[in-house]
Amino acid sequence: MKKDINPSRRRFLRNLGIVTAGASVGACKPGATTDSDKPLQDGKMTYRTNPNTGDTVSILGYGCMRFPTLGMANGSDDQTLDQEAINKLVDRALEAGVNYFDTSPAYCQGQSEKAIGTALARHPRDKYYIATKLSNFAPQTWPREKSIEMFENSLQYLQTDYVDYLLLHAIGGGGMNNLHQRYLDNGVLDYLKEKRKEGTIRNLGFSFHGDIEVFDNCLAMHDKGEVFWDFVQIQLNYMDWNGEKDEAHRNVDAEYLYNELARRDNPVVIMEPLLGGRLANVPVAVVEQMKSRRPDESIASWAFRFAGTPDKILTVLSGMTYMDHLNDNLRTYSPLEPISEEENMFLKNVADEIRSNNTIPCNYCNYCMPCPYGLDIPAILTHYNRCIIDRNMPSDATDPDYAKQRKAWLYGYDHSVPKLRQADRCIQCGTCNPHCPQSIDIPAELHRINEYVEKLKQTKA
Amino acid sequence: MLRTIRIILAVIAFIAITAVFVDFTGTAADRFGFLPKYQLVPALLAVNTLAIIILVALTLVFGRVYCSVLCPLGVFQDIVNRIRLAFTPKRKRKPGVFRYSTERKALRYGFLATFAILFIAGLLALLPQSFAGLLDPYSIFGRGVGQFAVPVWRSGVSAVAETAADSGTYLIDGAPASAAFVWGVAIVAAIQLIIVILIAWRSGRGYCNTVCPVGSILGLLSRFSLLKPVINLDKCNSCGSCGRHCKASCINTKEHKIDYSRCVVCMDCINNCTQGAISYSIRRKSHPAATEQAKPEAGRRNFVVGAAIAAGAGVAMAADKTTDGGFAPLKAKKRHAGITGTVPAGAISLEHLRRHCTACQLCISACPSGVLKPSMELSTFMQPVMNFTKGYCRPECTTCADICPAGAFHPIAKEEKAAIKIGTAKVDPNMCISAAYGQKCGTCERSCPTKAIHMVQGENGNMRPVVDESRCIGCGSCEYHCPVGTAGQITDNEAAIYVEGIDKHRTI
Repeated sequence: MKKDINPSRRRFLRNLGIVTAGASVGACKPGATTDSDKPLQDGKMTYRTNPNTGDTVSILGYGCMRFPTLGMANGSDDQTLDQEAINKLVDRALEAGVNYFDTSPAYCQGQSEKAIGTALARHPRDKYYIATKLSNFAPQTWPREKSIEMFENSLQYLQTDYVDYLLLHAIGGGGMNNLHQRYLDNGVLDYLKEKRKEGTIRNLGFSFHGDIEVFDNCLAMHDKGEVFWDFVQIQLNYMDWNGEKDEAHRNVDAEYLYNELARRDNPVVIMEPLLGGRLANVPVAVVEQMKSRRPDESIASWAFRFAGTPDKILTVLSGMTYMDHLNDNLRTYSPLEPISEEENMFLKNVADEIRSNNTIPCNYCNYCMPCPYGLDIPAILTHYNRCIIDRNMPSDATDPDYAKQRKAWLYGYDHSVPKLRQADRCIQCGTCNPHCPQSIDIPAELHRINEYVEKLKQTKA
Repeated sequence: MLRTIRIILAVIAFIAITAVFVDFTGTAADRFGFLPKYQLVPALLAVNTLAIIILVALTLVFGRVYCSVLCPLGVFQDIVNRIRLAFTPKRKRKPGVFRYSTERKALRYGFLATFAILFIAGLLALLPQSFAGLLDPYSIFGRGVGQFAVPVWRSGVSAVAETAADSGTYLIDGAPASAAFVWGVAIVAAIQLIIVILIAWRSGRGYCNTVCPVGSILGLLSRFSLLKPVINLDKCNSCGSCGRHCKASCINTKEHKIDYSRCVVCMDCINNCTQGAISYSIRRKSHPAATEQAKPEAGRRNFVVGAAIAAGAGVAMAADKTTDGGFAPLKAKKRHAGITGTVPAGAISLEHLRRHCTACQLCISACPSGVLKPSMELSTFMQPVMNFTKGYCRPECTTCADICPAGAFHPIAKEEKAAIKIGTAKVDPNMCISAAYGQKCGTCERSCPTKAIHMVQGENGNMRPVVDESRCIGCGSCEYHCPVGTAGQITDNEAAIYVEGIDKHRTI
């Protein structure tokens, strides 16, 4: 009898741990949101129309980059995707009117396309739009034949013979040089244009991160008639819209990116509306202000309402890991209540307040991973950010709270990141840097964090 | 009353000393870290005059209370007996389960002589002191706790801490990585504990009075102790109850004589005497001990020493990045075979440690960085040696030097720590990803706490680390942080930079 009780008790404790983690620490995990109390009305979803094809697209798009893993369900390190959970999420999303699913051959260690393909194949093909990408990580995958192979694999994994939206993945990293080598000079773009003519690709576009020169050049190509971009995917949120407007920050100025596209009547797909969950995990002062304005709505809902407000926006992607993320977003967008002028000013102040915290702008996208030297880069940066947000950055050993804070910092660090994957293992090889869509100088940040850790370790209260 | 006091004190001492071993937060060590220093063999090795005087005086006044209260292995045997009693049917239990036996003199003093020879051989550096430590009760207990209780406790606490930390509560410190468990030592510890348990099960304190050299030494003194259990022949009705309750089997009820060299003053006889005929008091005349009758008891032990397996070297390129997420696998780093052992600052020299360490495993259990590990070399058998695969010797830590009861490590000041040279880092440029393969690295240089490593241009044009041996203290930070052996392109399991110990430590 006893033997029967123990495992379930353990499971119960583990689930309890996961639930509490979701409520507190887990808030720093990707896309974490807290469930709000606003009633959910199915069938009220806001839709936008693609002027080029007439597609009616739900304002909430499903990002397939942060799918649940088996490990999340059973408390292990298993990173295999949890197909059963994904099926449930997809069924629920379709039921509530979500009809845009965005994946890539690179996502979830390459498992994403297969998982979403499996889930969607259980529904009629005309009920949803699929977006996928030609990814560009290792130069070995760049030649024309390899690219064709990648595209054909995508079709196979997605169990379809056409893709609704196809993107050149994350152009802008590595400048014009990379764009030429990856897509233009090797005839890959020509191949894609051909496929569009055939109807295998219904809309051709690109997603942009990084060097603004590449963005401008691509739009110039559009203006000159060299290539017609049916849509463009950009990063937009109240932080990047309200950032500094000088030359140094042009790369991430969402207001500029959006306006350039809007004036060409180019449909815009939004990514990182929540900055990988960072905008769901804001300083306490901001929480109080947001909750006093809209007590029944989640912190994340502000970011989603902001991202959905501009009218040229086709859909806002959210990488929803948990059912409560999905339901919360459905509430926000069924229907979307646009951000008012007054609220916009408020979010501008919020952006300034968040920026003054000096957190590292990591969105937990995992593009930097796997680090060849075994580090868990997103976990290190997230722990650091979390400590900043929680005002737990001990620096003065004479402070009465120093010992307590030091303990929380160091043990929290060991808890979040295994010892052999911590910042002190970084060899500064820089492999990660070109992959970071947020242009974080990762080795420099890791070095800085490690210096801080060393100081903490050596200075006891 | 006296028995209750004895039991309370024994329980406190036993829990405290066990806590010093298992508690990795250092709290128990701060409060009770003095207890191991009052163990006889370590105190003798450390020439801890105060402790020796106190222990001798204690025995001369109160008898062998050391064996009943201070010695964790003694208390452990009492616990075994409690358990045994619980397994004995009530009707058999009533009149007591022990009976008088004569002193097994030849065996007893044979073991004492063996211990003395090993002890002296250790001091003369003919053998490692851990061979004498095989007979030291405190070290036997320490090895048992270090090999079994410590890993069990830590994994338990880690599980609780994980759960707590999941909810953002860091009330409980996460247990540090510990290299304490080593099969060879675990086997030795298990065999010794089993022998102790078997003898305790069969004959109470038989181990203490036949095998244990500390028991024999203290027995020589306790014959002359001021206070003893004394039988008042006027009150005694010769029921024999005291003898049946004497776990030391030292009360000859027929002749009304007590062998005070074996009595551990547990007070059980006083408690069980219905006539109130035994009192703990000053006795006027000493009685000679009963005649000897030798019986062999202890078994022989065999040690199995594992052989090191050499790992093959080779280079393979890391897989191309085609997807995002996931982790590069981590390999288990190994130490280079055949290099001179490195031992922590405070050990003074390899020789000093070898001569004084009884291999009680306390430092190994206490090391917060998981650097110390029991050696499986015969020349330093079970004594601590440093291993930089799970951590390195941190500049602010002096835990092992603070806690050692045997004087194998001398206390050092925290400020002094980073200036004591215990070894020198050596570079294997053929394995270094920078020197041999031109990869940007320099991790050893950056992580060196004494700035003893520099990256300079090598003959092949690549940057290579060089070691300033005058500044290098041998802390192992470079070896621990070196990516080679843990992750990356090189498939070898050893670091490209490693510490070779020096035989005599010195301040630089």
